[in-house]
Amino acid sequence: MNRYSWRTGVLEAVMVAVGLLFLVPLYVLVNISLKAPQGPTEPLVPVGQPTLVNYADAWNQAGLGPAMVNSATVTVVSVLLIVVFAALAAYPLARVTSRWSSWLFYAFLVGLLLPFQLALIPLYTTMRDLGLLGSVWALVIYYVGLQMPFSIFLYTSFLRAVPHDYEEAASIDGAGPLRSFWSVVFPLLRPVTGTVVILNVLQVWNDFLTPLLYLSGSAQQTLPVALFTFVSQYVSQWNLVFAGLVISIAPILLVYFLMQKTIIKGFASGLKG
Amino acid sequence: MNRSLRSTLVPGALALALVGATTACSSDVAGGGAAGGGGDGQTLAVAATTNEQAAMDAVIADFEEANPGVTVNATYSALDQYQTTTRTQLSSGTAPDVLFVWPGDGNPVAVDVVAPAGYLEDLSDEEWVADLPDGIRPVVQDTEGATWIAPISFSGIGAVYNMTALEEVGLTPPETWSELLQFCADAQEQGRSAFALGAQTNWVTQLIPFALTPSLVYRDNPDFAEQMAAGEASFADSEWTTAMDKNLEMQEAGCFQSDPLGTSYEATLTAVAQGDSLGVIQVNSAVPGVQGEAPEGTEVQLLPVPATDDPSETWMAGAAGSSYGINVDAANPDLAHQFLDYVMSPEGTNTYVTTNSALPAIPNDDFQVEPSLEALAQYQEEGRTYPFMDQQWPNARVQQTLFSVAQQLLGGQTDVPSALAAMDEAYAQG
Amino acid sequence: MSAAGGAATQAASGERAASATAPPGRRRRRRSAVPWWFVVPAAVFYVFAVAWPSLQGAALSLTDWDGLSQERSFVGLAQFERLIADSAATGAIWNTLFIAVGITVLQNLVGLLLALGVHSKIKSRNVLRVALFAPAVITPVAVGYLWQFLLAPQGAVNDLLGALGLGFLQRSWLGDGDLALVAIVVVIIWQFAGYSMVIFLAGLQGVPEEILEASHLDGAGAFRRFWSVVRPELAPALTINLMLSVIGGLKLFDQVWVMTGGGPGNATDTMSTLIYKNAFQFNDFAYGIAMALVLTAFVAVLSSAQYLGLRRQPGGSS
Repeated sequence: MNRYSWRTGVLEAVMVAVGLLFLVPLYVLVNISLKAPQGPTEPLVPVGQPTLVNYADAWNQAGLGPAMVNSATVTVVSVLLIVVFAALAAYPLARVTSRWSSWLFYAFLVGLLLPFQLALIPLYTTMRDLGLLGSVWALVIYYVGLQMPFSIFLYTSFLRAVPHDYEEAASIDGAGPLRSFWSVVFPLLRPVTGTVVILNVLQVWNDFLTPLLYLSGSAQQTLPVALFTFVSQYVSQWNLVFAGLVISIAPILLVYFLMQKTIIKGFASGLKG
Repeated sequence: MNRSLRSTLVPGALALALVGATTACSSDVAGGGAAGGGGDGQTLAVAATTNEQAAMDAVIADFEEANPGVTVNATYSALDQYQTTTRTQLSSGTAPDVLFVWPGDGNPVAVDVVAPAGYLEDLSDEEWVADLPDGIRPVVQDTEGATWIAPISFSGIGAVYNMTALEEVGLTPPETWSELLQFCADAQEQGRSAFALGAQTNWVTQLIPFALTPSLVYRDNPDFAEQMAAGEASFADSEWTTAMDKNLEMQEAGCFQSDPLGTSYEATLTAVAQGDSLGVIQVNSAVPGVQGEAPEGTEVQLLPVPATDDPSETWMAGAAGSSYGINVDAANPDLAHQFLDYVMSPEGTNTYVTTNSALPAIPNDDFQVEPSLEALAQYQEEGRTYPFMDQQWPNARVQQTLFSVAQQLLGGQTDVPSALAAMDEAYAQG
Repeated sequence: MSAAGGAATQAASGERAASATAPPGRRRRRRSAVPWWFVVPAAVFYVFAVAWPSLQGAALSLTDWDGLSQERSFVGLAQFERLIADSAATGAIWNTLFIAVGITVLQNLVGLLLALGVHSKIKSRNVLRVALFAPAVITPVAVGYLWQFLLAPQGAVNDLLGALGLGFLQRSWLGDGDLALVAIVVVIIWQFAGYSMVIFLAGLQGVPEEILEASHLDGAGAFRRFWSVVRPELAPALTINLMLSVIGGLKLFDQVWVMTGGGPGNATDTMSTLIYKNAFQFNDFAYGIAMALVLTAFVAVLSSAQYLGLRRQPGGSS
């Protein structure tokens, strides 16, 4: 049954064609970013003499280096806290079957519905009162709160499907609650943790309006903010703008490629669990 | 035990690190701003849109050099974002010391919106106030004559021509309305479009009406804005109808490239720089925009757009451009005043407007007009300019309505009377 | 990548298994064993950053605050009354529904087809799984800029159509209101179909490839057999995918804002762009917040209807 039939060949051809179609916009993006300034703009024709000068210009003029460090800090710290707190919260939400736990669960889910405009100004005022404006920690606090609903949803639902035997064995052992969580429950959550990490990294890394507002007036910027300040300044110089875009996408794509293997491993155990 | 200890410690340590880092970093707010609390007399916080970045940076460098020990921290953001952040900061008391404010009204961060709310310092006692030209006063002062913002530059709307491309096809810029229509036909014959129109970018859609109405409406009736404010005149019952009709006439005569509604502002600069379009009706800031993308040695000129067949009737839209106010809660008010005084001095102004390809709002003898702006300078001197219309509208909705109806007119989804009626309705909301 | 989807799928199946498991006797024991205070850190952050400020924000809808002035007064439900008469708002609601329905149906359909395609013996399957997912990692604002460039009259899309001999299909993609709405949906599908694909892929792991292979071959009978096998396996993935696309579609902002700004005219204004315009550009903050609350209600009703509907279906719940 494991043969590569002519039908598989047809499917392969179709899928490759679809894949290429999906990649055309990214091809244009990279192609234009390699174009010399004042060269002709032909999005589809490969650039004659590719140059990296746009990348150097974008990197220097937009201050993308420090911005990338800020973005990485915010993303790593936020996602770490999100994973720890959401996983912790999911444990009682999934295991305690009383009414308050299901109400609490729904109270968290309401957070998925709220448009960002509602909380924008009141939260800004609170951050001001706490003296957190201009600091990346305001962002961390915001993201941890903002991403709780979806992360808790994923963790809780996952945990509800996991048999209870493991934890029971550990609790008979006489271990404290945090220890049995850390050594028994959290490892069980590994597969869904992969999902939580990916989705949250995308959200936090790509957010634009919040860092713009909270870091405005400070020397610190995140990557999207630095990038779009740069974009608005060099409006029609697409080669520069696109080089900046490629730089901003590159780290996240890289992380995604690197995480690929760990994730697939986690997936296998996720099926068993 | 060891394990459980670690499991308790890790989250605890994280929380501690968070708190520690929070207090450590909260002092990072640059410069002043009421929240930043940098009231040391040595650090100034300035905010502006990215359009002002090059010019402001140049002035700041000079100012810092002339005042050793002083640091000016400037923050720039794109227009939409600037409006959002500035409004939030003003209402929360965290705005910078010196901030970019639009002259007149009709914009969410315009002086007539921000000053009455009590966020700006009264600048009436500044020395430069006496030198303000009459044409600019209405849009930087309130009805009682108090001055709230310092206008640095004078901007104008006109046709930005690629003169090199014009020469290639053997055409000259039109000086009357009939010539303009002929110019469009001639350009088409040469396989180019006369004017690039980037109507997808909403604010671009106001520029052609703004370029035509000074000649058609305000030259004959300089009090039109006051009459509208008093409810004695309306868009629909004025020469605004002619201006809108002429905008459509240009479209029918093939003045624009194909599909203006699908074309962005950025794309029009490229089209003019490459000579695909011969010109674009734009603000003077488009001049360096075109130059930046055109081949070396391309000559670019900003010229008036004729609206009638008598060249002597042609006026240009010209108005206070880049303007700044001082936050009433500025952490460093003295330094803020010192900075604005410097910016308003001939030296500071000339650096600013030269970098930004504009003219000084208060003319001075040291200023060298760049060749591309000579026509605007001449019209300013002769008093043949009228402020951008939106600066005298009572709310931001009128302009937003103009953006919408102008796009709908180009798309054939509405007609001139209904379009202007919609603007009158927005105007009436006050 | 499939791990992400696998976990998500499991998450959804866990959700429905929730109340069914654990006999009563066990429940009592567990209640004491599981420390309730584990939810405290999450709840603190959630209340601080989301729940409380949102309530404060919602209260502003009962005032006439313009977003700037230091004064505001209580006006009751006046802002909501204005909404009913506002034709721009009703237009935006229809646009939002069009986009949300378009995205929900098409993104999931395309995502499912892609998942079926790469869940096969083709040699390029691993490369394709990465390539098709790549657009999902791009900043939404960047996606907006990129596509604005691609969809320009002389842009890459029209160029490509010309080069393929399909010149008659060239259009003013963003210049025509109806077309621009469609273009927005297509762009979102480009960006997120790979995302849906990955989640479906996880669901497909339980389906033997032979069944999929066979269904490629024969007629309707095989297709029905295929569907009866595959559908229950896919139900949890479908739940997650639909929830994400309904909420994402209704709240869509960044891409629309950058690509069209709601234009031409008001043709592509969504509820989110109109909220933003009122709150920050029209000096009409409280009115914008009133719209935001209406949007919240929309999202709540549609996403829970969709969620409950799926749970009732055979295969959607066990």
